[in-house]
Amino acid sequence: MFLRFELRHWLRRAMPWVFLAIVSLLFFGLIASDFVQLGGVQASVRRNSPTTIQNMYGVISLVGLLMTTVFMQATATRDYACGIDPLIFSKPIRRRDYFFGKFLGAYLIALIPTLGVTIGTLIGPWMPWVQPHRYGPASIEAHALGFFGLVVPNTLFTGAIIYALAVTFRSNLVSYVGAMLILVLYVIGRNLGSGLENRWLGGLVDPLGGLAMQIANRYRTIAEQNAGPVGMSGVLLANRLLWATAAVAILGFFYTRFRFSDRARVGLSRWGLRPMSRWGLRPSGGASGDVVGRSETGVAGDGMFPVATGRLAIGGYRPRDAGGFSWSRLGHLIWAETKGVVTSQAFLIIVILGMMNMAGSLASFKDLFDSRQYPVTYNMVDLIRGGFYLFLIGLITFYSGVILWRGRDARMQEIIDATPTGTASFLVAKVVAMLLAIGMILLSTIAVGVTAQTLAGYTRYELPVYFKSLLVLDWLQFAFMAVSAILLQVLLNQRYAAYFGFILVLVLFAFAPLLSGVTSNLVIFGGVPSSTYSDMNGFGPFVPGLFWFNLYWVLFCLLLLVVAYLFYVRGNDIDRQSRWAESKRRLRGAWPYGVSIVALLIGCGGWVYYNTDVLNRRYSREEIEGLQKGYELAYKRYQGVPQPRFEAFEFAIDIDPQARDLEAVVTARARNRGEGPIDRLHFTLPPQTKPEDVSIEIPGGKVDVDDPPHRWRSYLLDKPLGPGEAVTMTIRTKWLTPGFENQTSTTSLTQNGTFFNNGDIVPAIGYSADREVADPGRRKKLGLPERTRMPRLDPTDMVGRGNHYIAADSDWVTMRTVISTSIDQIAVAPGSLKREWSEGGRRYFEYELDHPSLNFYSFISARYEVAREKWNGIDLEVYHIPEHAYNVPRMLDSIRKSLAYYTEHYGPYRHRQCRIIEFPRYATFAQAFPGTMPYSEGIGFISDLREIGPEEIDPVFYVVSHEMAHQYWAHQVIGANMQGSEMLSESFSNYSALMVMEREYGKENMRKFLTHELDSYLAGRAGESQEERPLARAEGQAYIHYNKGSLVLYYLKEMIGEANVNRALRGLVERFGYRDPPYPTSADAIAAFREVTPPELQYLIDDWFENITIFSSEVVEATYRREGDAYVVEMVTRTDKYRVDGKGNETAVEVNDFIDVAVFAEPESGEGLGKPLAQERRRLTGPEHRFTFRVNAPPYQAGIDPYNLLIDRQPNRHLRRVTEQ
Amino acid sequence: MPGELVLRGLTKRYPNGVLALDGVSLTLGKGMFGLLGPNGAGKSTLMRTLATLQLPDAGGAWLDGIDIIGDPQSLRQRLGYLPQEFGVYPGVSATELLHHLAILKGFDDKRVRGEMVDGLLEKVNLYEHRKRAVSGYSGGMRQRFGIAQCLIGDPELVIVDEPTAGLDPGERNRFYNILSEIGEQVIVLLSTHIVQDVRELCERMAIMNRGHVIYDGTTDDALGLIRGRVFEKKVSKGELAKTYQRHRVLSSKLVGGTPLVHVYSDGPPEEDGVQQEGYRPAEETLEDVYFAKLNEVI
Repeated sequence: MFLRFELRHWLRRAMPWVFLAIVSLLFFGLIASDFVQLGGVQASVRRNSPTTIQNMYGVISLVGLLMTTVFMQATATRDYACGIDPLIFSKPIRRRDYFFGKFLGAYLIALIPTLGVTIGTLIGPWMPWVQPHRYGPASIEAHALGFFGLVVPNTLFTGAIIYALAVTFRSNLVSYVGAMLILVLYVIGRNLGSGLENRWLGGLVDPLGGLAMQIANRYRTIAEQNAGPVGMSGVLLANRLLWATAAVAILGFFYTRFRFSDRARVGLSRWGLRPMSRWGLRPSGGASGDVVGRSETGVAGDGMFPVATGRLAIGGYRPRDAGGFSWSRLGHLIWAETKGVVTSQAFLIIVILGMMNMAGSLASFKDLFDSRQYPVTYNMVDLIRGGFYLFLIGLITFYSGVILWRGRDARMQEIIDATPTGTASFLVAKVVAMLLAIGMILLSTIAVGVTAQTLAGYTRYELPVYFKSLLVLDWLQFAFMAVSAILLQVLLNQRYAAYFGFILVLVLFAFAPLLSGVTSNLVIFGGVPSSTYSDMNGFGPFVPGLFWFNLYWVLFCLLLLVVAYLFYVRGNDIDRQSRWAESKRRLRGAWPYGVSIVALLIGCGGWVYYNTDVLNRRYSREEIEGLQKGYELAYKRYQGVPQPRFEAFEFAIDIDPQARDLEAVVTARARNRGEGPIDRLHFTLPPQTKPEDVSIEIPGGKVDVDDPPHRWRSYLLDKPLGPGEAVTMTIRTKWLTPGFENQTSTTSLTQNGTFFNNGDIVPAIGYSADREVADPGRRKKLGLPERTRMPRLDPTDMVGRGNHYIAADSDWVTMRTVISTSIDQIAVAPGSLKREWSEGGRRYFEYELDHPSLNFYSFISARYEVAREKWNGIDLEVYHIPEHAYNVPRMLDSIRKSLAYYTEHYGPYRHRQCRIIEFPRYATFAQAFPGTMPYSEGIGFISDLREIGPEEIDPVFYVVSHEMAHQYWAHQVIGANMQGSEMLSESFSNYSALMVMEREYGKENMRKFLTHELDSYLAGRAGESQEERPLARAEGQAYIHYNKGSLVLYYLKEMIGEANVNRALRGLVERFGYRDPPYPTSADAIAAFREVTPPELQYLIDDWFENITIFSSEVVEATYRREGDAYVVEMVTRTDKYRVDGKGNETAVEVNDFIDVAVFAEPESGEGLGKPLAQERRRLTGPEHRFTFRVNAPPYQAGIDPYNLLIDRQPNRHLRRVTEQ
Repeated sequence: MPGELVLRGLTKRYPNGVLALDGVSLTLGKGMFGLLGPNGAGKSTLMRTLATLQLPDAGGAWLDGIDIIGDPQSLRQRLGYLPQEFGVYPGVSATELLHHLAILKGFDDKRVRGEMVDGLLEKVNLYEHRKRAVSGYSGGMRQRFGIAQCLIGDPELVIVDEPTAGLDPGERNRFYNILSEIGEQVIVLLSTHIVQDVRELCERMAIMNRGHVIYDGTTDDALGLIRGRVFEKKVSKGELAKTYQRHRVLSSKLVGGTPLVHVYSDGPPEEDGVQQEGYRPAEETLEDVYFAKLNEVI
């Protein structure tokens, strides 16, 4: 009966159908239009692939939480809200029918809108404008699995919580809190799942199953994703069962608590919660309980009221100037309103939930490989933002309504409105109270942050950073939000419409810039330049922009408040006409304020515009791409045209850090190394300077073509440059920072931490392919031809091998630098420091490279402390800020040990110094330049290595030895600009670092590292946008040349021995180190490996370097029996081997491989691997094998490929506990 | 003229088309003024208009020359208003709430305010209960609290809208005692649909119906309008319909289960020239005036 009633009730309402329409439209847009996107789009996964479709059902579960909440709440509290409950409950109905009937009805209705996914995604692909090749046939299975596997159980769970809470507490608010709780679980799951360790647990915790889906899909290739949906098994199945069971349990539990009894009792108090506290909200169930007209039951205890005698003795109290404005009255109002907000229970609950959510992530900071970071304050700030702000936005949304309707909710509005306090005071008090409440929350997050820091044993709190970030920058953002929310409440004068409107506005402003291409922060509400705090540089380059844009929006919000004042409802006239008339009346008093604010706003906006659009230029993405396209179309024909090559540089650079300016005079010598004369020189100007600020003087040369927008300039020589002849040119570059920008475009020039490359100030000779639009999708859109990511690997192409992949205008160059900076800073350029002096209040340094190097180096200036050491005549230096001294000894240690290994195995180190130089965290990487390694302050310098365990990876040690290895692999041996060349630099550097680490930490530590590399590789290939390549042909694919590179080279070393691998590598250094072209390719490296590999293992090179190979091994059975003192272990295994093509299609190939098998004792620490009791490397042919081992100690585990050396998507099946027969 | 509230041609039509006030003109002096009328007569609209919570479409109202419509702020300084239904912030004590409202009425000085609040609480005999939450008060206590807040700052005009609805007789008496005391000094406008209240409290009164004032004068004059023209009779339920057809029935109410009708008639009621039996002159009440006016028999 109740089921049918609910269904009838809802089906006749517009809401389910409106939601259905919205969802259909949304998902139609997602699938049929490029404008609406969700997450990263992979070009080769079909837009309606079964997996994508299935994922969309996961997405609607999250979005649909809001809709489910609406249906469930309305259904659960409708009877109470309209006061019909006594009528219903006095009828002879059954509790069960009522409770479950209504739930089931609302549940079925809540499923309706989710069908919009089905509708939208089925229709989308049929639209005439779509590119048909990006779509496949609709998969019934995907829709079924998505709907029944995700949506149905999710709605059941979310619905159960919301309904049960709403019906039990008869309060919408409590069930909102329930919805928030689901969000918290969702976020906690995400946090848990972000590391490798607890991924499975995280997948279980996320109640919506999205994470479990991701985990199950993580290693699936494009082909698999296109072929079918993720099956219901493993963590996904476990997750679904867990939460469906939880839903039933929740419903059951609350059903036993459910009573028809009178509503006054059933409130929160029965649950030990006080009804919403003073000045705050009340549960909506008793919405009118406090109203005089209704609750006139008896007289409470004061029957003896003596009739007042005599005159009214209360006369004589007249207010002082009752009509005027008074600060103390405003102050009191603000206090009362603030108290009303912050002491209400809902407020506290939301804040506590937010804090809980935040605390989860505050507990530890993850660096590379799940290692810990010091909780430096900016990290805390970022975590607070990530963990709390969603709740804060929810709070602002909700309380904008509460605060504005507080008087009306309490039915006190008429009394209040009839007092002589000014309307503006009421409004201002509410707004200020809101802002104060937000401020208090932010303040309390700071307290939590500081506590978390203290608990982590970290005491450099940096309160000013907290305050500036949270209580100034973020608080202002929330203030803008709050003002607009309140304005909407005032204008619409309908609480729920305004909630909805506000959320719409939020979404609109989040997506409108993307969709419309509008970028100016002057027209995006609340828009300010994004900023990053750096321990080195503070808010450095962002300060002026932040100040002026915030001022602009503060003024704008004041104007909004004037509008809100005009329409603020006072009294009972709420029809549009009366409000309009009243606003005109108020305008008579308010216009001077409005006009002055507008004047200030125009002034401020004008100044901002002058800075962002006159002093600077703003480019939209389309404009930038247009310029890139123009450059490519006009000048691509000059690619490969013979040009002289740089061979020597003299730099004179003056940096003004405070002004963020620099001037450079560069004397550069270039030589014609070709066979014919050259009569024209072509230049591509630096990317960030103004083209007119770069001048090039060439003796006997004059400008032939000057194309500033495309940054192209050609010179015609009077006398052609003959073969072998050199030309010396003088380049003058000014790189200036005028005013401030809409978005700070460069952080290279900055107050403390200037960090730029030679390419930023010196023009490149000839055409630069790296200026082209790279993204295949964008190229297609722009009508540009398809472009390979890298030229094909072809060792016979000697022209192609004439350039390495870093630069196309030089080979090995010499350089000398005189660099000056402000008196308090140290400036660093490559090479040995020759001279240092002060002059005219500035500090000068002269450096010279000790050995010709790649034309690829950096210049840096900041206030540094320098840690120095000497190792075999080489200066080891770490330039860092005083606060970041934690890991400096570790870095020096790593340099020393790396140098020891590399000089022993690869050959001499050619520079006289190894420098690690800290730079601001605007970028988080470490990079190797000749003898110099800039290292971001955001990684490494703040890694917390205090309690690093034997099983954990020391990320600092690893990164430094990797960068040190680049001094050989890239800076001595540099690959030609062809596929596979990054193997020579990145894979070899990873291998080198692994060897240094293995020496330092032992073999067991490598296992952990390789597990991470395996995970990254498998996830990377699943996310491949074009085609996976074999290692020897990788083309800028980091997951291959870094992660797979580590796995493959380590495996090779395990199979043929470290000495052999190093012999091959040393051979490469000797043959190609610092040699002129032709540059080596991956084929040279493979040939070198083949030479040191015995014939029976040559297949390894085929499998791992030249093809994509994947294994799947499993211990099917492992048992043992005792024979006297010995144990006989029997193990049955299955191994399959696949060759995989670029799209992920697998073909089974015969197993004929050397694979390790082993039996282990129980590990002492309880986890990981125990002592090996027996271990062999066996050549296995065919899939299934049976092994028998005889061991002398109790066996615990047996395994095939137990160290996970082979690439396998389910490495956890390689070991099995041994059971007694 | 001092101490006078003048209403001229107040008219208000709601957006839904209801004409709530239709040219209401009244003049009120010091003392209690009763406003009678059935539900929907426009009483509350009139009250809210005078309490500056609504603007009329036409007409004006002045208190001692203060333009209520044009300068609501000045009126609010002299106004005490007890709306028909009011609630309070939950969990807030009487003292705290009175302080809050006193501040809103301009009492910035904490000491003065404290004295006044205590005085008011004593006045309405809530002093003992001053620390209790008003939301936990009984109906009568809450109405007394309402009066206390009404009196903050010595208002010159006090407006109370249906203040005794739902009060038991004892509480009602207590409430009226306070009210009548106030009426000795200022203008008190009391709206009610309980005719008896007006008789007891007010010297002057008005009756409203459908936005019009259909009577304005003293209560005595009102009674004079029907003196000697109201007759009552107990009739059986079967006769009731016939009585309504034949006579100008003002009201019928059950007394001991039998309908007692009041009939308006210039002389003893007749039917077809035949004087009817059983009718006897009734003691004239304001209620009869009220119904006579509503039914437009006078």
